[in-house]
Amino acid sequence: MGSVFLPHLRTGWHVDQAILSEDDRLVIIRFGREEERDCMIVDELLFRISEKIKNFGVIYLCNIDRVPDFNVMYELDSDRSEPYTIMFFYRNKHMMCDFGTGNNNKLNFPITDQQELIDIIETIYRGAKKGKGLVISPKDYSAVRKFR
Amino acid sequence: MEDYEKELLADFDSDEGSDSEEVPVENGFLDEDIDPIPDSHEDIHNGKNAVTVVEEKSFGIRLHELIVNSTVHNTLSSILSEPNIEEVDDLTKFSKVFPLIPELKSHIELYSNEEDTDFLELLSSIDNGNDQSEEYRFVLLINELSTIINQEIAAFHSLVKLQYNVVFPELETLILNPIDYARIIIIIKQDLQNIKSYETEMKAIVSNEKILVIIMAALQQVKNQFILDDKDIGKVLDCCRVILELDDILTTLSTFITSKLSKFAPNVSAIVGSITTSQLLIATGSLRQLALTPACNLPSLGVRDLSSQTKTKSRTIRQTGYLYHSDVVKYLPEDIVRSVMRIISGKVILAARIDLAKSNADGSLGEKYLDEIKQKIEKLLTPPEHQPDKALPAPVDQKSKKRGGRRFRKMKERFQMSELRKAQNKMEFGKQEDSITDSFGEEVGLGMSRSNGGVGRIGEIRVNTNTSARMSKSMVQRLQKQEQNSKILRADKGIFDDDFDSILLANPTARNGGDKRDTAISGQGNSSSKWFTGMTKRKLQEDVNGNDRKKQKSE
Repeated sequence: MGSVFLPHLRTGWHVDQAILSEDDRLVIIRFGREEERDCMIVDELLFRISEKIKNFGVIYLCNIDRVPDFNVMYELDSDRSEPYTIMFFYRNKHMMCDFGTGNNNKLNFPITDQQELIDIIETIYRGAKKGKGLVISPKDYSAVRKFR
Repeated sequence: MEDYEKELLADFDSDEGSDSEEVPVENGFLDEDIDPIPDSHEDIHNGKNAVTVVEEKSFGIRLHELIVNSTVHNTLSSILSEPNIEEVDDLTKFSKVFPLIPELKSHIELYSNEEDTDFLELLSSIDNGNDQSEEYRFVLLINELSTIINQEIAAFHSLVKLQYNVVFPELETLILNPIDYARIIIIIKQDLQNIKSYETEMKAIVSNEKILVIIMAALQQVKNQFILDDKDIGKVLDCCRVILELDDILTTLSTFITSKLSKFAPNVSAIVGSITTSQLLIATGSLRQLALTPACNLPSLGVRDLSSQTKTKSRTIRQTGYLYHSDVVKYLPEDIVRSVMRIISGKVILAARIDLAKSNADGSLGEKYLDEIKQKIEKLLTPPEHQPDKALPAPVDQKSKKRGGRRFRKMKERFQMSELRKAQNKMEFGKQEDSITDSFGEEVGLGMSRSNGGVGRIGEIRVNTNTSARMSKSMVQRLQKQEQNSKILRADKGIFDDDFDSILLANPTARNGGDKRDTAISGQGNSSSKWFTGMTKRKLQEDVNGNDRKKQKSE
């Protein structure tokens, strides 16, 4: 239940400000519906690592029903079997990551391990610091089970 | 009730003989005071004074007998097995403790008035060495008595319930406490019709809500109430008075014990309370024994059944003894009970030693210990502090400040691509490239490696000396040393030849005149005169080949 303490973005303006405001930290936004089971699980995971990664990343949550502004641009609500989407931004730039899943734009597969997620965020941060737009994930997620 | 009567009637013939043996002790006493109402203490005292000294002295013995008997018999069953219960006028005679009450009270008064018995106690403790004065034994005896009194209260309670059931059956379920039950019966008797008028009296005993419930139930009951006659209700009231009397003596006893214990063991009782103190003292035998007991043994005192693990109350704590049931430990959560008992038992033993030495009579040290124990319990009860997650450092790659040095540069040079190789990879414009065929039959282009060398000395590509095999300083020294050694050995020539590869076998007889021959042998060279020449030969050949190869390379 700790995920309620994570900052929730209520409007599109809030989302924009969140992405713009950070200067030297990664902005990690979870788009999804809190009422769905898988989304709850990943929210808890995000909450648990939020304190650890606060030096190089900040986590926000965004409900795509309440803030539908980005659904088209980021192709958020296109797939019903996709309960959440995690996206990474650095200085108003969208960071891509090659997870091996085919979609480099976002993290939309089930992930349950804290350390794995921290590793992904660290890798993206390193790449972002060097000015890269695309980094390669430390672990290949092509074989990971999809959501039902 | 009727069933019960029938049972009694059936038992009438058979039990007559067997029960008579329990009664006489009391009967002898009851002859003097049949009056069950406890207010007439003066009479009893007067009556007792008339009794012979022998009987006075036997009080302790009788008390002891009573205790021994009671541990065997169940009080209620012995009452109920009384044959003609319906005809007995005075039910109080069934109580075995009741007749002893006046004497008990006088004894308690006697002992509690003795302010300065310390000297006598000291004498007695020196005399018998067991630290057991008369007073102390009396305290122990009384401690046993309390359980018997409790049993009797329960017995009389059930007796009253049986009889009063016809008047107001619901009362026994409404008031579970036997003392309150008896008091309420004394107040309302069987006057359920006007129960409301007793409300104020009842308020002193039970809560307002309870009174309301009782009144409601009583008014419901009025219709089918059975009115007992004066004799029967008198019996019930007598029983109730006995219960109250017993309760009264019980409180007197406990206050007496407390006061006595606070004198005997003020510090111990300050820690664990008077009841547990008395239990511990009884279990060990005396204060001296308690002081001698190791602290680790204290929790296991009073464990009901050591042999069977199933009977113990808790799963985690084996030692459910007196200490476990003491007020300090009773309400603690189970996971800290074990350590708390350990702390307490240590302090109790210390306090017992202080009490034995009588160095702190007011029990202030015991209270200090109790404070310490409570602080420790507080500490044990506080949940562990929550440690916030430590933030990870930002994964910023910093260039290392170290750039190497001479050694590192040399090392890097050794693995660098050589000039020759670089030149080989280049192609000269407008000229045909020289090429050789390697051992696999593949053509390898030589690039500019040849052409430059051919042009002149200045542009010649030097062979990279860095890549050549090198020896460490120590290795060079070692080799030099060996060379010197071998030179020395060669100077005093043994049977070995120059290279230590073979042994020289010369004819000793020929030696005398054979100086010439000897030189001839050595002069003949390496090949002919030696037995084991194979290795040397091969070595020589290799050397020659190596030299040839070197020549080839340099070409």
